[in-house]
Amino acid sequence: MERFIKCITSLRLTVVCLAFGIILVWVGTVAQADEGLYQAQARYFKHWLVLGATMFGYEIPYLILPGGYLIGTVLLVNLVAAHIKRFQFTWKKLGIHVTHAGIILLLVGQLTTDLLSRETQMRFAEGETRIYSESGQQNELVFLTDAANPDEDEVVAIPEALLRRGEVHHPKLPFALRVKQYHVNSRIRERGPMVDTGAPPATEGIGAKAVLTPVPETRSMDERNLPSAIVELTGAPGLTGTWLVSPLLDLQEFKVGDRRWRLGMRWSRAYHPFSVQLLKTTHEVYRGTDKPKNFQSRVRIENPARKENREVDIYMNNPLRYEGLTFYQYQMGRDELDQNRGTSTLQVVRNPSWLTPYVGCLAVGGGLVIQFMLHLAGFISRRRKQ
Amino acid sequence: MMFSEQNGVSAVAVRSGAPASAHVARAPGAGLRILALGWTALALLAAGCRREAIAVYTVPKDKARPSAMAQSSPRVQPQPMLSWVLPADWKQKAAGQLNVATFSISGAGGEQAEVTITPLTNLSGRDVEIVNMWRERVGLDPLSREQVETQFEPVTVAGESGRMFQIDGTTKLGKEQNAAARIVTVVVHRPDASWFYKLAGDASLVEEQKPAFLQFLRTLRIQESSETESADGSAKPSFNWQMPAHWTEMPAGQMQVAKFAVPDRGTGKAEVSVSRFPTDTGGTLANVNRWRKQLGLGEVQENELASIVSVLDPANPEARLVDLTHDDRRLLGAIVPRAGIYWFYKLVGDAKAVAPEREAFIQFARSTP
Repeated sequence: MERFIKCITSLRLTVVCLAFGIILVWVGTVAQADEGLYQAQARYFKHWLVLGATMFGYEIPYLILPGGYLIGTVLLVNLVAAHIKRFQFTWKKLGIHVTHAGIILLLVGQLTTDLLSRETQMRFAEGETRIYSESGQQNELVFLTDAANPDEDEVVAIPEALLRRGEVHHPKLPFALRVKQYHVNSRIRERGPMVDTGAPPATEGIGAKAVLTPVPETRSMDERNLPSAIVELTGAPGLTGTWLVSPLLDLQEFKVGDRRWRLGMRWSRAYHPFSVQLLKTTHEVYRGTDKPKNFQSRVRIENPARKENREVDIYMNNPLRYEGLTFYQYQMGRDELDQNRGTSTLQVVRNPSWLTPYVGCLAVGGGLVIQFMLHLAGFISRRRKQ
Repeated sequence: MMFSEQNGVSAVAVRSGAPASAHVARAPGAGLRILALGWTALALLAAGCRREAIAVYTVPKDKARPSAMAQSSPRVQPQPMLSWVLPADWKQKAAGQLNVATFSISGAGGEQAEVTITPLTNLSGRDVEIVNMWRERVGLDPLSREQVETQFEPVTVAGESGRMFQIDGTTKLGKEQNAAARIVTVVVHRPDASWFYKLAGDASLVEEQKPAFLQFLRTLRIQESSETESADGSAKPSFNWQMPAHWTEMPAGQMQVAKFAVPDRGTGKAEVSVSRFPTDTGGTLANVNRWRKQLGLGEVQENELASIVSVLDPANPEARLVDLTHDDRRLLGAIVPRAGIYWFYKLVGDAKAVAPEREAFIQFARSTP
């Protein structure tokens, strides 16, 4: 046990972790070019172990590195354990304690940010109101049915990750869902009567009139994967056939007994207890260029619980912080169907630990200053005595 | 919702770790054990937070606009009537799901080609995408806008100007897969739809038939459908349907002029559809076999027709009626020539629902709309 404690509290372990940290950051950064930002982040920094890497266009399958979580965890354990083992509260060491507390806060803050933060986007055209924002990466399969209140829908939302398992059951669904095909990225178009002579991808709904082409997963920052699935609903009388679902397609309707259901795949949604209406967009560019000068959205926030109804301007470097969310101005455009109507996309970020990096950095800086000042004071007093 | 639950759990776990480490100063061994426990809890929390679960919630009904694909779906509206002079070697076949006419051509050496006429949703301004879609089908790389523009040749179709492009590649269009194939397509953007006239098949036969195809396009005549503009500007056919009172009119589908639902009496579902064409779309045999296929029955030969088909209306001896049943499905079909136009009536559904409607359907098909 003593040997173990000696090991986890040793400075050598800190140096090894920092060295692996430097290597991991370098490998992960280089790999972003081949694997894309999101995958590189997940594989190198949000995993315990990294097995294989892609660098400069070459696959290196036998490269094994500790992942970001492992390095961070060992560093944190090492730091806290060393601190506990050698803890001695004296005013002379106040700066070191504060600096270490700052580093611990930074490490824990990063972990909680990874676990708890969520980025979504709110897209709307002028005049439209949203009570939800949508994920830029994740999708979900949803079943909607009329709720007790005729103005409401009851939603059963199945995350995309569960669709890869093949069969899904849920007590709220009077049928079983069997996923016959799942494509991470695909293209869907209407059947061309002259050339598309093969069988349609599904027997029911719009899938019977469509052509589905799976395409390789995109890792580009400028593109988005368009997943699709062919699902079969079984276990309810009268329910037969297969359905094609994709975020590109509208909800499709079917009946189980007398109850009307709608089925579809969509970008994963996060609903909010307030509504945001886009009132006006301002999109200014520097004269003679496409360079944005000012992106600005005037929105109306309506929150019945707080009896709040107010207008807010959101523009570059002036986000709106509301109900634990931060709304950043993200994109601007024109409505596809009405070019006179502006559209806006707000990046909606939920990060409960957003303050930890600020507090951590302040603690580290403050601790170093305190320690330096204590040393300086001691030095000056010794000089005076001499 | 899910967020707040996650936040609540993690906040407790993080807080429980902090005081533990503060006390260990006096007893390093115990402190490290508490630290280990705290960290294990955090690691488990990490695993828990990442697990995705099915969510059930109630929200106000969505008023979102339809998706891009739904917006581009073909509008259901009456089509103009076509007439033409058929080249000698061409044979008219039953039209497909979206085609208004299909013709087959056989070469002396067994080569095959097909001519189709298809109205699609108005695709005016999207010629580049159209050409590249066809190129993709035969395994060719897409072209730039400038390159596509050089591919077009002007042609005349029924007195209107169209654009012709040709694509060579290998495809399944011919008798053999991966055989040299050629697609000659003429597109005419009309206010009602974009009309595609296509000659496709084995390259040698398509090349041989191209002059006949262009001549065929010149002989085409397009007669606008007899529709009237209603007050709200939408086009509605001016038919006077004499259908039974218990049938309910439904929105007509693609290539249909009318559709009716038969009331569900607890015996199953059935519906009636009506379409009309300037020709018999391949003849009685082709249409009977198409209907048989829809019921899952095999094709019949010309000499078997007499036993399947009867005369619908003694007053119109050319009008035909066919009654098909397979398993628990039944289809009544009628082909009625009236003033040079062929009317197709179909009653299809569960056999028990179709049976009581037989007489009503026959009277409906006999009546002039």
